[in-house]
Amino acid sequence: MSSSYRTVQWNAHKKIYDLTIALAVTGFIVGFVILSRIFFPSPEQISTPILLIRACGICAILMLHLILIIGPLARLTPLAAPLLYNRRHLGVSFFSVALIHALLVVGFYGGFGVQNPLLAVLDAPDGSVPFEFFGFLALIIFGLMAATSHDFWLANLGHAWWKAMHMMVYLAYILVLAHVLFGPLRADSNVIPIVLISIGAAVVLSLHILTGTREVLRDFRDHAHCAQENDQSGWVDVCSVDDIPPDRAKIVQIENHERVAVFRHNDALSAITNICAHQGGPLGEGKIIDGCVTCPWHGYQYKPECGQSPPPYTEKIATYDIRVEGRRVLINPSPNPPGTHTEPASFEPWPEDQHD
Amino acid sequence: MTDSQASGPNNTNRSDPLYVGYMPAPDEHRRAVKRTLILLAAWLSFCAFTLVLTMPSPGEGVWENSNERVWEGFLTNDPYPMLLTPEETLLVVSMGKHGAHDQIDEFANSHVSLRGYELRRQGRRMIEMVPDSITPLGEAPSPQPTLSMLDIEPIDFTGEIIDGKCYLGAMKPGNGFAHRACAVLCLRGGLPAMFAEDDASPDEPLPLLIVDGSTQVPEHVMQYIATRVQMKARRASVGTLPVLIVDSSTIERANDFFGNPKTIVIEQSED
Ligand code: HEM
Ligand code: FES
Repeated sequence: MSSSYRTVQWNAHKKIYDLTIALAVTGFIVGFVILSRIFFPSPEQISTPILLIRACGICAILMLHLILIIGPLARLTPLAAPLLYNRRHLGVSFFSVALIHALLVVGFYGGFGVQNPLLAVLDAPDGSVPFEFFGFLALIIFGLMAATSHDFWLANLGHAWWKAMHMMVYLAYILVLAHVLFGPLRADSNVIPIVLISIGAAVVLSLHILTGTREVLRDFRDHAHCAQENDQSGWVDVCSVDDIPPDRAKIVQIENHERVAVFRHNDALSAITNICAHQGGPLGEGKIIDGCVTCPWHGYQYKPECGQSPPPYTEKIATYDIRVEGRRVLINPSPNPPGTHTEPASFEPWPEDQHD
Repeated sequence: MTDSQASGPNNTNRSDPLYVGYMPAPDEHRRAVKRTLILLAAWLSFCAFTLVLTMPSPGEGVWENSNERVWEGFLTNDPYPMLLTPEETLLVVSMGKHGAHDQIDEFANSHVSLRGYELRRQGRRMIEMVPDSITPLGEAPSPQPTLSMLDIEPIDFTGEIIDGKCYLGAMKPGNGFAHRACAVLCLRGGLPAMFAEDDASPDEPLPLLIVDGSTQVPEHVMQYIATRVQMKARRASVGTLPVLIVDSSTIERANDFFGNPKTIVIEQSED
């Protein structure tokens, strides 16, 4: 757990990302209302508040699917990284749209009556499915996630807690499915909305199963190829220098230890933990840019030889002692304290590897 | 990822972009984002179109809530707040989700004028009364309405118990399970319950419901609101209004999304 965090940095990509979300959300809601007005002209007009309730509910569930799809997609292809980059803003926007949906329901379905509006909506008669309550529980979970999405909370709650809390998104997703299937879709004679939601759930589920299986297989393979500690010296032979492309890394798994990222830069090797100090991103999938290891998730940077972020930043990650024997790479599997300088291990490049 | 990275010195010179949010995006990523956005826009439009097109029609209820009008007639609270005019019997309700019993009480069984907004659907008209708008018009012959029974034996009905005000046009749609919380709140507030029969023709007037002898729907019946139900009822009328007299023990859930009809035994109170 680290008690420091960087404040959110604004940049062009985040602005474009947020602008796209805002345009898509307003476009969808306005479009939905206009289409409804066209297809249901007076006197068969649907009440505007109800149209807005539906438009926001549907918009929210579409956003939720996108949010759930981006994670596994980014693990399948690095091309999805731009979608992942600012996913928190997508999450917070999703929560806002769902909240507007809920407030409109409480205001219009629960309001103007003899009961407290929130109670009127949540207090289903005995024997009747409380589908609104499922939505309410989901909204509470999304609210907790949105409220703690800032890095401040990540830094102060600690990684494990933060992650556990954010895994609750799956519980909330199931609650949303129940909310819709037992509620508005319950007596619906039309199968199309049910087909659409099944497609959504199938895509979310299959992408998770696919990436999950890949990761289990990778862990299994890593375990099989797991480098073993050498009894005498404690140093471990992890790979060949030729396994590592310039400015990139190889992620190695040493038995009973965390994953280590072995980076190659200027014909020398440095070993650091694979876990980013920010949100635990896989540093070994990153790249050396401007002499710094750059995390593929949000671009936090660390100097490979000491694991320190360049000034003015202060993040530190663990380094590992490393040496090259012949073309084999050896690592001392006991991590150095975060920020410890270690001497990069230099080696003779192949002629075609020469930098120009 | 590690596989491709670990493929040895051969991939040294490949283009090897990494997307970093605060740096200019590599071309590969730009193209992928563009394609994703086009796909996303197409999917959003498709969803909006299909989901709008598959919404059921909310019916032809009308709520003239910007056209205040004046009515004259005989006002009564029995069995419902109603205004009897020479032509028809109009239900009277209050603003919001409230019945008009209390507001009318003081003027019940007298000739009055009152102001309000009209709601209408399927030949049924209702007045949403403006608060404190009743003016007594002095004595007049009193056409006290009575409940006249049409059936001796109850017959089967299938349909949905609805709150009259929403269904006539205050909320569109004012029926269906999505609207359940609102319907229950309206009925708890004393708005008249009606019965929308399956396959009723649009010009068949909607009958009012009297459940277990009361115009106020009992709490144990609320679980059936906004779902399809079967019940046994006797037809009756009051003024020009058709009425169904139903015993709550005969109400049961009809077929819906979750399958078979379900009978819930309700203990009956003897009176
Ligand atoms: C306090 C929380 C919530 C309440 C009280 C609530 C209530 C409702 C109600 C009453 C409806 C039926 C609307 C109608 O068609 O007339 C509805 C529909 C819906 N809700 Fe919620 N909801 C809540 C939270 C959520 C959340 C968090 C989501 C997440 C995505 C969501 C998604 C939807 C969707 C997709 C629909 C279907 C839209 C439609 O009616 O066609 N709701 N909700
Ligand atoms: S996890 Fe966010 S930058 Fe590494």
